[in-house]
Amino acid sequence: MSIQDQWLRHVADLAKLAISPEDEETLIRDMGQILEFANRLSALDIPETPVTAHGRPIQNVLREDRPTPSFSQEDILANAPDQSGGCVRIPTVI
Amino acid sequence: MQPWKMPAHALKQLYLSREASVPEVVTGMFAHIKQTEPAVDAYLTLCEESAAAQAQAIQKRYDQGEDPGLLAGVPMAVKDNLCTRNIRTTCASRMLENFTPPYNAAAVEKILAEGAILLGKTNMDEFAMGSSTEYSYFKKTRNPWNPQRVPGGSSGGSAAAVAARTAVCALGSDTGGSVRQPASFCGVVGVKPTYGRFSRYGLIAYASSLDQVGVLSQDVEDCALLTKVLSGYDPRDTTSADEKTDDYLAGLNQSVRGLTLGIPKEYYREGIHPDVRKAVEDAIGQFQTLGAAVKEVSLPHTEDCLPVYYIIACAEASSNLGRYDGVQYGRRASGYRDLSDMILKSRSEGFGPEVQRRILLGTYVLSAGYYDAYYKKAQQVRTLLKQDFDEALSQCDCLLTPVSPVTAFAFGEKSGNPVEMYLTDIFTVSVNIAGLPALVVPGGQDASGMPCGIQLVGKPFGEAVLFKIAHAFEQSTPWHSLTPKEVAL
Repeated sequence: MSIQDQWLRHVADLAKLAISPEDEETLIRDMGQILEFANRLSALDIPETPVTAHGRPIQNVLREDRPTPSFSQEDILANAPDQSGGCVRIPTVI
Repeated sequence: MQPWKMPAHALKQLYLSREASVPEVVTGMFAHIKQTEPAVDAYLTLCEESAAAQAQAIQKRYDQGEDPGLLAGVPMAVKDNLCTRNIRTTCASRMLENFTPPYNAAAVEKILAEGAILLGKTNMDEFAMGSSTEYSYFKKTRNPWNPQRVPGGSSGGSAAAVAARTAVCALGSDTGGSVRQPASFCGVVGVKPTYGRFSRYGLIAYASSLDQVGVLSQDVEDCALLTKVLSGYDPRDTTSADEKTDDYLAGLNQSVRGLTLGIPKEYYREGIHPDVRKAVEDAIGQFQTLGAAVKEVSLPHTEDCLPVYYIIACAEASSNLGRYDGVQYGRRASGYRDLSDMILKSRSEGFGPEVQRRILLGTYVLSAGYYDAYYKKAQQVRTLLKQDFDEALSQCDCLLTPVSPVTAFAFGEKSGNPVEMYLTDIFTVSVNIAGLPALVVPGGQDASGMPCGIQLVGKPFGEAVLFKIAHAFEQSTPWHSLTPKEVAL
């Protein structure tokens, strides 16, 4: 297994995605191209520049803690892939 | 008379003067959809029954002498990443193939409150990731001007529907150009407002710091009308702007004499198609004829926009799409060993290749050891890009730019090479990075007769100025009144 295969598997593991062996080669090529194109930013030496996380300067948006109606259990469970006794059911965890 | 092919503002007048009725228009619209849809495939879901019921209810209010709202009886399409109560909302993904939201997105709520008729949900690139609508899990939408060409993306279904007049106007979303580029490719008007102008509540998230709901319409007046309906503060979206909204219709029909348009010199680069260049140059000439001044400005970090965009958008996408785990809603795979395997299999089956590529890239740029080099660096360059726009817009009233370096391309022409596809977004992504408003209006045609838009970029919350300038241009040029020959109009 090459370093690139290992790298891709590590990232896929973090992202909870299974990469099929036939897709591996294409993905390594595509990701390599995308990252090469992203690497032009490394030429910019801007250690003092502040970061911008948003298009507009907004922070600490608060609202009043007032109770409002929420969705009904029935509405929410209507989209659940599996349910039992008013709960979403998943495979045994422990 | 085929009133369902008219813009909303004209249709509304027909209703008020009793020259057309809402049920008659909605029936006519569905007949036109049935005739046209096999050639275009703009819709993923049609809502004929509920639309007919809505039409009856709205007509009753007209008959009682009421004016039931700014969009009363206007047949509209909605992109399939905006939640619609009791109507399947798929994001064009296998992951949400069977997802039926229990609520309406804020934008949907607002158009319905003004009496719009919901025709159906439109096709798009899966999770809005793409520039051609080719990445839809379900089907390809064809450009009504030429079925061999893509409609653009990711709001390709909404743009194609408006161009084919199978919707009077439509809602889309724009994270890096997803309203503006298909508007240009399909010859319609599109607006992406200032970040925060429209609520994102109920818009399925792709990249939250860039996503905005947008509008596609036949002309600038409809675009201004819809912007009036959709603007305003919404406490359910923490990034919603509590800023004054303008009367976007008030500035229409006003002169642009004395206004200054900035032309970013870096946008006249290699790789821009000569027909696109000509459309922008002709537009510059037209604005000068109308009495506006034109001034060269500079956006020095233009070349850095695309890497910044793809790093930030993919990072945010990898985080936002973490919620799809097959537990509470969305696809759950079968034949899994345990919970972890269920999540892995559900995500791998549910997401298509482009979505997986962007999640992987986003996960990588956020992972230990790479965060500073990619994500933090991209956010620093975002600061520089914003400063570039602040400086350029301090010297003019708005910027005039191309929308895409090319007009609508053929199916498969770019989908094999992600970087080549990403390069078509160079003139649109910077606007999302800076959070600015931008409007696209038809500005010409290429040698093969495909439409080509021009883009106007405004100051924060300066939508009204954009509508005024775009309207003056539209009314003095023939482009918005042309319709595709390929579709029976």
